[in-house]
Amino acid sequence: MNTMGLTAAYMRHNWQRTGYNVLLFAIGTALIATVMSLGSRFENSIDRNLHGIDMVVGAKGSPLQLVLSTVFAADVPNGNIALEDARKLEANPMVRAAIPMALGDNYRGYRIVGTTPAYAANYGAQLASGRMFGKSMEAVLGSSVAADSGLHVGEKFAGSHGLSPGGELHSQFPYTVVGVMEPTGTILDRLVLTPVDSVWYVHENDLDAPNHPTAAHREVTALLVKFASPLAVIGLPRYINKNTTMLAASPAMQAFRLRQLLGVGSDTLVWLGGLLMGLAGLGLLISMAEAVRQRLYDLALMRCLGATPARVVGLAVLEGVGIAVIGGGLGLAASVYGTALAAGSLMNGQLGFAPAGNGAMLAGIFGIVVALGLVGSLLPALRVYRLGIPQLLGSRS
Amino acid sequence: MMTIDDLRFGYGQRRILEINHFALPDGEALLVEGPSGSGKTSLLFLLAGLLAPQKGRIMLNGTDMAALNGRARDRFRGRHIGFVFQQPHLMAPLSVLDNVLVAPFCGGVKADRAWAVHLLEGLGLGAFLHRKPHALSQGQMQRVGVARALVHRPAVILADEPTSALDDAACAATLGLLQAHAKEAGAQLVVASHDGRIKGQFKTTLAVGGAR
Repeated sequence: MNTMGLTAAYMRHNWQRTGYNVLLFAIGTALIATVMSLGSRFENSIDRNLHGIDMVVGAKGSPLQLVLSTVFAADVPNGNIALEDARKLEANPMVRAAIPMALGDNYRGYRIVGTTPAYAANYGAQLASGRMFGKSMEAVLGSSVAADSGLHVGEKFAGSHGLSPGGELHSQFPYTVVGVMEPTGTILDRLVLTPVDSVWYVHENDLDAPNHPTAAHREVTALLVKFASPLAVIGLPRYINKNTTMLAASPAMQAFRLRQLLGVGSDTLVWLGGLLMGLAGLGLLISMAEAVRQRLYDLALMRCLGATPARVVGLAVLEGVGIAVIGGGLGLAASVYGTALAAGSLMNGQLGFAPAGNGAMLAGIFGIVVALGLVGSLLPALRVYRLGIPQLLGSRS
Repeated sequence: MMTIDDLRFGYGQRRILEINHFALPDGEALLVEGPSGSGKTSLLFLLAGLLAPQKGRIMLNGTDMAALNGRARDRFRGRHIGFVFQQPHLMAPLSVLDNVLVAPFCGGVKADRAWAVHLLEGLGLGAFLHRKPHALSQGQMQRVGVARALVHRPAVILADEPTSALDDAACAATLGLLQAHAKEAGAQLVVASHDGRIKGQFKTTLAVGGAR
């Protein structure tokens, strides 16, 4: 006989009510935790991918598409820009750094990006093995690509045409893996990096490839630009959009638009989760009130046997907190498992979701859930203080 | 030793109890008798410190119940008083044995499990130790209530109509058990009852209900 055993006995005895309350708490907690953690992963991932990029310059078309296709590797590019124009822009004094991106091929669905080592350096990538690419047809793999393909330094692979798997294989122009990067939690993990020369080389020499370009008119897909001064943001994008055949887009602004588009959905879910949690708390309040009513005799009896009111209230509260802890724990576990699953299969493929370290957020949610259980059971349990024990235990004579 | 001095109790203007002086020596049994509504149960609750008198003093073993604060009164009740209710008031989720052990748990005293088992066996409940109360008959439940009142070896045993729901045989057995345990432990037994069957069993009686 101890406090825990007594509480457990009551919870078991009223297992339908206990189970219902646990379920209510679990669903509310899972919903809130999932929505918030997906939201925060999404935000984190967007912010990490935007790091160090003030402006993206590519072919005319949709600015959102340009940003998605380059910074997030999530859409097809608008088109290409002439290397000549890119060089001119690079020389602009307002531009501190311009990283070229040449897209066009993929390896098993992972995009092969023709670029410079500065691209990897921008995201602070470290090499897990090998070295950074130098010569044409050398490739450095992102961590997910390496893990998925099992390719190691020194091995060769062929890219296929297009940005999704199933395109025509450039089998006569194999790449050599010279390095594998550590995970960065950015889109880099899901890319194959190679010098821009490689992309040109493959496409100019593969005569089977459709509308293959020539060395005379070399192109890149986009430039990732870092401004020399914050003032550049005022004039440079405008200048490019007005006076050149290129399109300048602010990734931060496009990401903001993206957030707004998706934000409606995630805000609704947060509210829905909050509503469910509120209902769970209210349900607990009502059902604890009912439980206390049913237990009034037992609680009065315990008072009669010498238990202090505080102890009796404590017992009732322990039951509510127990329900909240079990329900909240189950909900959090389901949410963490579900988010990991979703991040692994669904989201990761598109936006480079990283496993976010949101333990503090989960702990906060858990704390709120337990507090709800505490208040939900404390309010009805306080009736014990007003109990007239003699009346309850049958003073009729 | 139990002494009652100048005790007045009632609800508002309605006076229920009026006892000028009463003393019960150690080891003695007392029958409180009177018709329904005469204040028998109120007296037991006053003795247990669950009700406060409007006036007067109750001394149990040298302790003035009215002088204790709520917490101390709860502790005193948990340690020194055993209560047998008219209804058994067992806790449905707990086994028969746990229903007995809940008394020392609530009273904050160390549970003597072997003694609890011994008591239940003596009451013919040895086969039901781990059964839930709903498996018991009314008489068996009442006996569990008796075991619960005795398990912490109280100095005072208060019993409210302990026999009114029982048949003649169970009535005699329950009363005999209460008296035997009270005698063995040197405890004072106070039984409130209007059950005519048990009247002859008590040397000392206190009639209430005449002071309206």
